[in-house]
Amino acid sequence: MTENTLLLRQVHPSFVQDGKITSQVFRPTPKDENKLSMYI
Amino acid sequence: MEYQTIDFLSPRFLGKRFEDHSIPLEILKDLSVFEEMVNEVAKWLYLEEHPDRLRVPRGFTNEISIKLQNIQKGSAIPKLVLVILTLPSLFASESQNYFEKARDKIISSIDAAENNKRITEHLPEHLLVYFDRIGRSLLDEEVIEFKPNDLDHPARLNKITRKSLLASSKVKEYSEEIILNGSIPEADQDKNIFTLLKKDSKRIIAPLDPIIKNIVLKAFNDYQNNQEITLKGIGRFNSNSELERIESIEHIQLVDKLDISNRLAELTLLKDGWLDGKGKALNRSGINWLEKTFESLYEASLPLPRIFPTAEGGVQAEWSINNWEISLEIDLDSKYGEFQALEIDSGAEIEEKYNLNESFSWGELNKNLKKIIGELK
Repeated sequence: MTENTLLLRQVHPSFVQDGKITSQVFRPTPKDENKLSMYI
Repeated sequence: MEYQTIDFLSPRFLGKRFEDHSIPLEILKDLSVFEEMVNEVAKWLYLEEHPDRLRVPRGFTNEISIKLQNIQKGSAIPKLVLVILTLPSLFASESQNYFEKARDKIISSIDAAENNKRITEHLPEHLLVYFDRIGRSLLDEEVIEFKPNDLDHPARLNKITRKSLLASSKVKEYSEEIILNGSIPEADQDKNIFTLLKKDSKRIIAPLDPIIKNIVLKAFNDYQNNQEITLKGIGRFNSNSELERIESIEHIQLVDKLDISNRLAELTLLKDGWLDGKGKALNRSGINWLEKTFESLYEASLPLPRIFPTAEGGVQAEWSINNWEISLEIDLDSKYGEFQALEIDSGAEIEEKYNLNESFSWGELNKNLKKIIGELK
């Protein structure tokens, strides 16, 4: 991974309002069993 | 000409809007329809008692009218009187008699509705249609007691008894006051109608009156940018209580893209499991609390936050102000809020815990936001 690597994240529509996403998507949630995503 | 004034009816209006012993003007419309109804019921009674007559005598209702004399305390009791022209009418006392009988019939039909008795024993179907316009602006908890002094049979008109009265009438549709949010994907300036696309994706046709045209067309032109409106008016419902169309619109306004009530209404549509099977639905009474509290205690001059649901069934308000990223995570059950603000460049942080049931905490939140904006040192 370099600083130019584009990381995509799928976001629930309720986590977007007027074009901005909530900071919660950068935090672990129960649906990920509280584990952060990894880049392999 | 001489007039005689006779006490006719003193119904009691109960509900928050009447607690200051006054009656909103929009409710007075209902009293005006009540007079129309008394007139028509009086004529019907006359013809029932005189089967040989095709019409009521000339002047039967001309020399008699119902007027609002004053509003008494408790919550609000409008004192309605019959005003009768005493001379030279021959029919005045007869009219009075039929007006009083008509009043009693209307009251007994309401009492029958309240006690699940046969309503049409008191009034025929075609006269019950008047209840489509009497009581339609009543809110959920509001009641009109037509016989407030009769503790056993106060003849209460509320949303439920009104529906029973209408169900016994000839109309199978009924109208009711509505407040709706949505966007406007279609407007037809030739037919003078537009379509309101509600949040549940249902489309409703509404009249495009000249007085609201500017706002409707603005919302229509900005449809692609998700411009929404909120409107208050009269909706027509079918017998399954489904909204069929909008009959008239009293107020319409464009909604701020970050409007809190609108956003919270959207979030109440989330069901358990909304976040890949894990997200909890938001607690509706908590949402109502937040909407009311936010409206009264969040300072109107401050920027509106974005509002997001949390997986735990709460909400998170977020602001991006200057170089600061700010969040307030609100637990809708405990009413506590975790406030976090981070200045991206300097790494400066503010963290607070607020009891949002207390107005003091909202004052502290307002102060912190003002500091960040630079209005306070």
